[in-house]
Amino acid sequence: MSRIGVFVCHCGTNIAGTVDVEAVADAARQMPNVAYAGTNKYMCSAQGQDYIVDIIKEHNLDRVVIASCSPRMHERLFRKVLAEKTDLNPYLLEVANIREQCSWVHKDKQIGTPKAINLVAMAVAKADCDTQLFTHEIPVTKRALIIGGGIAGIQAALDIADAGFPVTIVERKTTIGGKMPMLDKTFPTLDCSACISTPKMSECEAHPLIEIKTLSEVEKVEGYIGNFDVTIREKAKYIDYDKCTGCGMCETKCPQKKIPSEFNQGMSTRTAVYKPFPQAVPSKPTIDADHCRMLTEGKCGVCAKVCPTGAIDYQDVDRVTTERYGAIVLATGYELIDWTRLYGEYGGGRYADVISGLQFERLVNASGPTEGHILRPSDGTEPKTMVIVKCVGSRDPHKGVPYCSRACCMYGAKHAHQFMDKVPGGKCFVFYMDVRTPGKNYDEFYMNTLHEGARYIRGRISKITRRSDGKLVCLGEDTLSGNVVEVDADMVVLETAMVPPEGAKKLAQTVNTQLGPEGFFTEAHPKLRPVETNTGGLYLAGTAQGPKDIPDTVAQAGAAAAKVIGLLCKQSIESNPMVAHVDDSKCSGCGACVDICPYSAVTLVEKTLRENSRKVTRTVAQVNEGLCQGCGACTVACRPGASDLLGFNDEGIMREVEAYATR
Amino acid sequence: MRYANFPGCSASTTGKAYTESFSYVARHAGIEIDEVPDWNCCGASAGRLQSDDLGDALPARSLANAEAAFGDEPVLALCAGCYSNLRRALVHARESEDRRRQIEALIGQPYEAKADVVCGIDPFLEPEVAQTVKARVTQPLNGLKVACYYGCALVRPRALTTFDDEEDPQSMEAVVKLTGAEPVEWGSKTECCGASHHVSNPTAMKPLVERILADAIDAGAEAIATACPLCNMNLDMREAEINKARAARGEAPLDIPVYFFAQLLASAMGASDAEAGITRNFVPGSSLLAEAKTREVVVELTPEQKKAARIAAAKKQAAARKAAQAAAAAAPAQGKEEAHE
Ligand SMILES: Cc1cc2nc3c(=O)[nH]c(=O)nc-3n(C[C@H](O)[C@H](O)[C@H](O)COP(=O)(O)OP(=O)(O)OC[C@H]3O[C@@H](n4cnc5c(N)ncnc54)[C@H](O)[C@@H]3O)c2cc1C
Ligand code: SF4
Ligand code: SF4
Repeated sequence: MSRIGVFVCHCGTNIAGTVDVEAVADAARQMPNVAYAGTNKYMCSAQGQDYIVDIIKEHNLDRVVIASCSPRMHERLFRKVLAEKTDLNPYLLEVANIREQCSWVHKDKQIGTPKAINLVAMAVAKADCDTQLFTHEIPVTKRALIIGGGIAGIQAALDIADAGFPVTIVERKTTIGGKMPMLDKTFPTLDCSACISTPKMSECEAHPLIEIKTLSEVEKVEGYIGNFDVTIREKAKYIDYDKCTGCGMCETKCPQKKIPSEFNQGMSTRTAVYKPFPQAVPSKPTIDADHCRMLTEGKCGVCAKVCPTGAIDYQDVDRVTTERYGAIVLATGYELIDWTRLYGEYGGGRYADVISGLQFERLVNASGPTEGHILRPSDGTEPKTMVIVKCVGSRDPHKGVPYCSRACCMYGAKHAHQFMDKVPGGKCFVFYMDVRTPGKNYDEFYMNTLHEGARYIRGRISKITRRSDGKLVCLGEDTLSGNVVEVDADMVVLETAMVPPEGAKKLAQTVNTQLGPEGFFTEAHPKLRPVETNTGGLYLAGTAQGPKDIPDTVAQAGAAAAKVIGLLCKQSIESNPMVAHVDDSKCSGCGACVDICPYSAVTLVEKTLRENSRKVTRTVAQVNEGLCQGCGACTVACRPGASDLLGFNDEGIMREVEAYATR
Repeated sequence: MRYANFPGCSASTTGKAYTESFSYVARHAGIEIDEVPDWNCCGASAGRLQSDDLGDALPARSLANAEAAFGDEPVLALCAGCYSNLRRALVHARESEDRRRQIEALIGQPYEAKADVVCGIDPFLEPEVAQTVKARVTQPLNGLKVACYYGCALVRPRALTTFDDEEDPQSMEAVVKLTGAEPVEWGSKTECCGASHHVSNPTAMKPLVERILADAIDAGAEAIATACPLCNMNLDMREAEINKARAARGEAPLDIPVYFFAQLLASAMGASDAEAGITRNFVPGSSLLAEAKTREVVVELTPEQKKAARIAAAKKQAAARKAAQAAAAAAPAQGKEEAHE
């Protein structure tokens, strides 16, 4: 016989407004094993907590049911109260959610009260078969891994390293920085993007606690929070960075000069041995194996001849290393949607003067291919009329993605401003669906662009054709006046959708976490745990989690760093005891659990067991408690019923169902 | 390849030239054609306006007849209107088993929706057919600049037609290229020609046609190719009228012949103008093709080809030099021998 105490919370009028809490307590007193039932205005308050503690002692209770808000809200708090202020094991607690799942969804007490009573009855039934659970200590490796070296990854790395923990940045391109150094100026303050991002890049390079691995990708992640064993492949750079001084001789002499520059978005060229831009970090070149004559045709070798330090090594190979990290931050950023595949009506990429927003950034940038003069890619003349099309691919479920990319309304306004600023007398037409400018000083920035003379037309461009005189004829509708509009433009800028980077899906599998339907990494809770994932020790920063601008990216990176620092500060962490447990005697070793576990927490092992007083060696499933997140998938898949979830065992759940069914 | 042909009402009327030229090409390119037995109106403009059931039942009856006679042999619809209507019935029948049964009940005969429905361009996208056509082109239209015009029904809506990109289709270009002609890039290839307003509201239609003609000329085209009797008629027949109006406004005429793409194929494959139906065109089309056939072919080399040619030339030169050296080396020896004698 257990002695259960039932505590029903009013939550002010949140619960008491639509649930007769006293009636619930009265009903609870009649339930089997209930030794006490009472109510309190705010159970989570200090005074409410004391009330629970006092009653437990006074009535010698051994199980607790709290009928209040969702366990996601305060279960941890109540467990802490039990652990710190009573002798009860904190897992002898059940929370009946009579707020989110009851009082908030019903309008009157007629329905709310009986439902709350049912929910309490179920919790009481389950509490009776709750058992004590114990956590154990997991050691923490005091190093962090950051995947993706955009501004998100850089900020997180600096914050963590400044707190005194070693950090490794794994970046798959030849330099860290991501998109930010490619941008010209940033809204709404119009400060130079490279001037505020490249110092951070070199700070990373110089930081004694930060190691940067470029041209690298994560291949395998094993282990769990506090102890991830990560295998990283660092691709061959063909240059020995220990010898290279970054003098750049090789770049000046490389005969392969016609390779489209990724950094300038294909609007200029680079060599085969190259640094994408002068402030790149690491500040040393790499050889692009696909274009190097020596590596493709076996002829040339010019760079090796001119290199004063003998750093060039055509025999260089990939390096694969495995190291242990305590925490991982995913900061893999975004890519822009390939509009050329999707929008034949905009010429599908065949018109040189229909460019993407990122290309425009390079065109207005002083270190870009035109040294900051806005010139048409087709003929190098200055466009007098420019059309900006927003939401290209965004908010277009038919062709692109259904969501809003969040930054383009603002950088669209920025592009309009920059064009009018640099081209005196220039006309700029912005075609939009909505103008979304929430943010500090954002709407003021947009209004300013309007006052400068940008013509905003509400409607989409339906077609762009090129006339023989080079004009781009843009057809669209002004949906406010209902008129068809036709603009003869010299250049068109498409503000295209942010989409997840290539390989995000594979990375999600490698690190064992989930992607949302749009392909960005999913946070553990959209409001309360925005930088955590459902996998312990794995955090999110920047656009890897969804489209956002730089201020939000940096804020999120700082938040992720704080979480990582919080974790790495600890000598050890407590494990979650609510994990799957396999009853060896029932396990048939079929491996169904191994296949279904989303966290690869189950493995098959050989075990010597005692069966019918004989020793037998059999294959059985074993759960790694560090990896198991307690999702329960295996308990459902297990045919002989050997796998059970501690804290949510089959018996408890059956008792709940019974309690409900027999009322 | 064998096709069950659905002629529709235009085959022997507005689209006669399409039928004639297509048959000529088919005969010479190994495309075999059966006629769908007892076919009926595809329901083009009126069917679906009446009711969705009639809209599906009319085309489905012909498709069921084709299926009964030829099994899963693809049904060919040269007219884009027919194509679109037949495809709608097919897609609806394939979309849900319920709808397919309803359609069977409506037409009172079995219809399994096995056979595909294809348009006039499709057969030539088959690699073997394309190859045969290319091999049979005896009078290439050397570098004739052609604007391929698709109109609306061939490519829209995508869910029905599944044929090429709805905004920037490229398949007619690929077929026209077989003749040695050069398709131009232009922006109006899927713009509306206003065909539906042809009779009811010509004032609304004319600017649309005028825009298409002007765009084609502006893009450097000498001719327009179509794959639909209605588009073809609309562009070809209205050109004179439009030019008259332009003359009155003091604007230059838009002079450009309009062909079915099959006419270009047929002509390049050696058909006479009568066989290719070109004599039926409103805007005279004979002389342009005749002239194109006499043009000199300029082959533009790709950079790789240019490089290969350079290397070949250099090799040849080196070989010649070597040969000369060898000859020179041999000569004094000979001289010595001679001296010995
Ligand atoms: C045209 C344009 C203009 C903009 N203008 C502004 C502006 O004025 N103001 C503003 O606030 N915002 C602006 N933005 C938005 C801004 O670019 C982003 O908010 C910001 O760059 C996001 O940074 P990030 O680090 O999350 O992503 P990214 O910059 O995309 O960095 C991600 C990094 O991760 C790397 N990576 C990806 N996958 C892997 C992998 N599997 N392994 C290893 N590395 C990987 C990538 O190579 C990249 O270096 C603009 C965006 C565009 C497109
Ligand atoms: S020449 Fe040698 S030292 Fe100089 S940048 Fe190139 S690889 Fe480095
Ligand atoms: S931010 Fe503006 S332009 Fe970008 S997708 Fe959202 S609404 Fe469209």
